[in-house]
Amino acid sequence: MVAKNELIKGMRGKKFLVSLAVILLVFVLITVIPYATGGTWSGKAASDILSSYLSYISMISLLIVALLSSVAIVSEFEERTALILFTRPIKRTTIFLGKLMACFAITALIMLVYYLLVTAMLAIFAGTIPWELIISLCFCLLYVFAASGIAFFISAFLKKSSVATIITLLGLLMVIPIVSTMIGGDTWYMLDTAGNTIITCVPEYVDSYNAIIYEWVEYMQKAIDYMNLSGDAEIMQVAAIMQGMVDSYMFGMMEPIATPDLLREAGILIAWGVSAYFIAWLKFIRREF
Amino acid sequence: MSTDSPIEIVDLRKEYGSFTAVNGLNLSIKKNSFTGLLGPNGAGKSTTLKILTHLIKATSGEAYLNGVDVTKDPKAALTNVGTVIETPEFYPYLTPRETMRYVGELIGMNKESIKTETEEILEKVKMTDWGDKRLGTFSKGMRQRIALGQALMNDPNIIILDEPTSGLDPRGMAEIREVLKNLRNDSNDLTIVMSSHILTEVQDLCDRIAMINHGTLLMDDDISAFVTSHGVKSVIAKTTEIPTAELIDRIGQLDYVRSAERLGNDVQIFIGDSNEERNRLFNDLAQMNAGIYSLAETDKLEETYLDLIKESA
Repeated sequence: MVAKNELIKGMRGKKFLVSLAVILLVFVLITVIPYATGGTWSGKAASDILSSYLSYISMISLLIVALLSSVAIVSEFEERTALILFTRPIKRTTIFLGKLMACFAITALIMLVYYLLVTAMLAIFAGTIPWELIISLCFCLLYVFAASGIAFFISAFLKKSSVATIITLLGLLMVIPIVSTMIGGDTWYMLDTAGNTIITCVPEYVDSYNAIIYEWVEYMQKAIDYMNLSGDAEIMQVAAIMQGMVDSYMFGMMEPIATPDLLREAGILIAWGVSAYFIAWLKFIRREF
Repeated sequence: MSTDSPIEIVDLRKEYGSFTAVNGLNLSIKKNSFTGLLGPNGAGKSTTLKILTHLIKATSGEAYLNGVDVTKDPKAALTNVGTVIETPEFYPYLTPRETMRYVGELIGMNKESIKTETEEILEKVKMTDWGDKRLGTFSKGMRQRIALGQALMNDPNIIILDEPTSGLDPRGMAEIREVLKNLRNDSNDLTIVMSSHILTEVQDLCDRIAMINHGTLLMDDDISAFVTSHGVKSVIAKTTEIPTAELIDRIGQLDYVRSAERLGNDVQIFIGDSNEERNRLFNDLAQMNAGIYSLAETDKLEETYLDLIKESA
């Protein structure tokens, strides 16, 4: 019953409409831009269409999670609705699970709308629905689950909804990716890397992405070799710096993508989600008004 | 636990670091009473009520609601309890009827009972016409009437109110008091405990008073016993001219008068709390022909309240 009420509350809220508008806007932009630049979707391979539509979905899903889930707990205290809800004969754990289910369901619904639209595009222009779309949807839902866990975790500790939303946004969109980049290498255990399976589950996307990287490395290496032939000390110093950039794939920012181990990445997302929800639950059941 | 005390608090303590908000409080609330919980800011009233309603946890002690310790089994203890803690807020996207339904479902009521009771309660709190409007558009007074309404779902035998008129305008306050008065007069099995800073409100609504300060109980008695227990009351005599020292002396020398003193252009006279003494004072002042045109008792509850707080400081 808590979940039902949270669903009604969530779906009548402005944030739901904003989230829906964002996802539709992204879809419309991706659909229209090729035509605006003289291109077309006709004749494109299903994997190309899929790659185009899934490229930004992990970032968009984080934005929606931050909007919808980051206030789930903190708002009960800030807006004083807890004074009604918590004084009723109902366990806090039930309230927590109800909120979790409702937040996940609402975010999942928005993502489903997007994937349905992508399915329609694939059916119209490619005449086929690749199985990677289903895998991507599954990973999108797992990513939403895990990211919502982080949002709940932040929400359980803070006093202001606006601060919770900002910190969730910064944490999911900046802090975690920065940490991953700083660690370098194959950070398969990080939330953002596991979340990228949404797109990296499409083999053609991985291949084309890596091809661009390798092409860049090749051109850079040619330029560096040419500079080293000059014999000029200053030019060779610049070449050495460039060599460092190439060797580190632009300090980890342009590393080739490994084909993901789907089971492992799914496990990682579940582990992130469950751990975050567990800490959030511990804080929630002990939090006093 | 006694069946005559639906609410029983035993040696309750709540500490926040080195600050003790509730210090071994013991209190029994009589069945079917409307008890006013009084005390200055920081006395521990709200903390006590929040422990009773499971919003905060006690450091130690027990707090029974209908014989069930809320610190051990909050779900069972709160089953037959309605609460309005301060001025709660509602989900703005829900209507009063949806809110009542949600609360009914949380309590475990069936659909039919929820529907019937919702209409009865909306009638009681005079919100029937607003039942399908979203709560986000309501005034604070209207939301507080809905707060009171949701507390009545499932016909609870205990209602806990923590400053229910706090932050409301005079009209909102009057509306809430009217609903509470009706509730008190119409219910056969209902125990209400209400904390408030407004003494006239307590005097108007409550039949018992429990007073706490520094987290301990100072007094728990019928409201009539409360105001008479301290014996001495003061009367303000208004005079047509500034009272002279001689007049004040003459009044002070009356055998039943404890003392008399000038208070601005008036005379404050302290006498015993009996009608006989009041009658004698009235006659004696008339005979003095001192230009006294009005006699008014000062607020007894306020005096007693301030005396008790002063003693416990």
